[in-house]
Amino acid sequence: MRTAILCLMLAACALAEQPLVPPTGFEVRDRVSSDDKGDGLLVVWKNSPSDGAGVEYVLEGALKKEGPWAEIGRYDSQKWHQVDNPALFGFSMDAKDWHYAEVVSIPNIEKPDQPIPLKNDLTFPTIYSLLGKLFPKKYPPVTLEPYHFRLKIVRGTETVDAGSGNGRPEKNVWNTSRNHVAVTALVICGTILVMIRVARRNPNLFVRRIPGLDAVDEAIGRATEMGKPVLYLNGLYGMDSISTVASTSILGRLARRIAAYDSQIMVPCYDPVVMSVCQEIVREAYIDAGRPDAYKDESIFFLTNDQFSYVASVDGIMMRERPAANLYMGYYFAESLLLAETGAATGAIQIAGTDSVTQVPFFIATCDYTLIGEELYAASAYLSKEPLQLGSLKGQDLGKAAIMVVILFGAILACFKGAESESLQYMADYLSNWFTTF
Amino acid sequence: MQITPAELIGVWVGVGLTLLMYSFLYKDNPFFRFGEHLYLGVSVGYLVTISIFRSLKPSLWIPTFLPLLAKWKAFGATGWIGRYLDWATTGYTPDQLGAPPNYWLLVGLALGILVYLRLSPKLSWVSRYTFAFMVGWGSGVAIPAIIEASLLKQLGATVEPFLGWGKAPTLARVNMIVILIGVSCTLIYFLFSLEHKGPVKVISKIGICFLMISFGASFGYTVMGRMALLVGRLQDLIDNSGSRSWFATYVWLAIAVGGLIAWEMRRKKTPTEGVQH
Repeated sequence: MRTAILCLMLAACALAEQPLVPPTGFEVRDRVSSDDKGDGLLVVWKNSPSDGAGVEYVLEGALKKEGPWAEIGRYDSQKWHQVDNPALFGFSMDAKDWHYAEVVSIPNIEKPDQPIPLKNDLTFPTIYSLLGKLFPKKYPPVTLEPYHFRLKIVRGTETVDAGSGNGRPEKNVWNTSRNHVAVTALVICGTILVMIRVARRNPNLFVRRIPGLDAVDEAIGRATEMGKPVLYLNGLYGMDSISTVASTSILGRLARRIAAYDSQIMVPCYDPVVMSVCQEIVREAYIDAGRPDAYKDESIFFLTNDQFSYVASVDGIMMRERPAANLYMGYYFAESLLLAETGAATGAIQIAGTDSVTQVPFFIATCDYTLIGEELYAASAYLSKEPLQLGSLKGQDLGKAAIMVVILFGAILACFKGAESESLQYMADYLSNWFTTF
Repeated sequence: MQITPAELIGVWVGVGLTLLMYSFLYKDNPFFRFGEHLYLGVSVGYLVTISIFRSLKPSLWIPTFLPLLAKWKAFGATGWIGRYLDWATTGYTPDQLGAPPNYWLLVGLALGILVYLRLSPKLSWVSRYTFAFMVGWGSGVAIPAIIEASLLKQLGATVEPFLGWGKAPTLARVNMIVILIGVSCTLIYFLFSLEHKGPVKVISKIGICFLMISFGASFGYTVMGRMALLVGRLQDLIDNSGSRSWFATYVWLAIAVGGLIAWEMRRKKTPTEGVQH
């Protein structure tokens, strides 16, 4: 027993006496993150063998190399690993071996409550820098002095220098922490482009029946027979929404058929830009159908940009004009039921298509046919059978098949998290990181 | 507690418009039309004001034109121009007046002005550049965001629970498998290249069942929310039916009901009006 205690004490003494080992790899880097305004720097350094309880790193900063130096912060040696912040450092398997500190200001020695924010080097093209390229004498390049940093490793009263360096922040165009999103987008877009080429060679690619879209012809025919208009709504999003883009695309196909049948269309719009785009699309459709004279600009009109007054107005139009068919394509919010319920009360045939998951149930309850989610995007290709859109649809199908494989493979692989096999563990970690979004 | 005249007007307008809009539950009528057009007009007026004071002014006028006017004023303009510059630059901070003008915003202004060329039949085609820009920009912004939020995040949410498979209790494991089957079957339903025949038909039916279960839950949840809104509105009507609000609810109810009866009687006397509907 005595021997054991003695051994423990000796071991403790030996550990206590081990000198602090400074970390290697000290470096000052420009910060690259989402919404980077060029106002931040990253100071990174490798783990030290001395890392542990009671050991911390002290980072100091200065505007000039000779100082005066001010303490920026103290960092626990058991925390502040790069792996904890993939938004800044992306996914690297050695990220757990590195520490980091994010610096956005240098302490102000004269006014401690007013830290000095870091400024960038105007490397991103501004009017000033563009003018500087044309007239370098009149607009000389603004080069700021670099900011200086030094690091110390501290244990109690013991302090060892761990490195020093300098750096300037820059505005960045590419956010490296989102590389995985770019890769995914490129793979999907590449697949779609390949499938468009395939569709151009073979335009008779198979697309399964979508009942809601088969009913479009029925709806237009009914409107023609009754001499009543078709009411078409684009949803409440602007042109930056995929669902609105899909909706306007469907509108083009629909307008072509309406023009051919010599029927009428009404498009009350929620967004003025969407209204203008719709006017262009419908005009083109009427010209394509050989009926430019039948097109009326005033049949596509702006109502308001306020949700419920828009609903009140569309409901009023439904009750007064009694359209034979109501088509709701696009993204909807709480107004979906108010619109579709009024439409149902007028006895119109109703077809809805939305990717708004919370509103699909209301359309299913009140409309004759409902396009659910993806079917809205497929609708345009289905109606037009154009190689460009068919290929795009086929490419998306391939993407979905790939997603299914990834899900099944990922689920099996994820079960190995914590397994003894290092390679399986690595793959599980990598997969998990790939799905992380910021 | 005594109600102020301003509050009383607010209460009467609120109660009146609520009942006018609710009259739609009977059928389309002049009271509803009045409320509808008033609501529409007010919302458009509000939108224009908001666009000027929360968008154009802070995002274009202050960063671009205000510093230019301040510089012009510093050169020493006189006469009515000087008076205008004094007026236009009053009420702003020295930082706003002295900031370097942001000329990039003029690109947006130019694109905005192009939209107005739609008013000219000969030049309306020029406005397409703005719309092309907006559609392209919109797609460019939306696609990465959708890949991130709707694809990668959803994939992660499906796969990541399996990371805890080793330590998960049996029921949690069953839950994970149910979600996996649900997601896979639903994805197969949304494959447009496969005809729904044989095993694909069975799998897509399972997918539709999962979809309908989730839609049913969403429907119930949202309907409960709507009921809460209705209860809130009715509570307001009840609260404003007392002497404190000068019996606003009862008076407006009488006006609405009496008006509807009078309108119906008048319609019956003029049968041609009814033919329209």
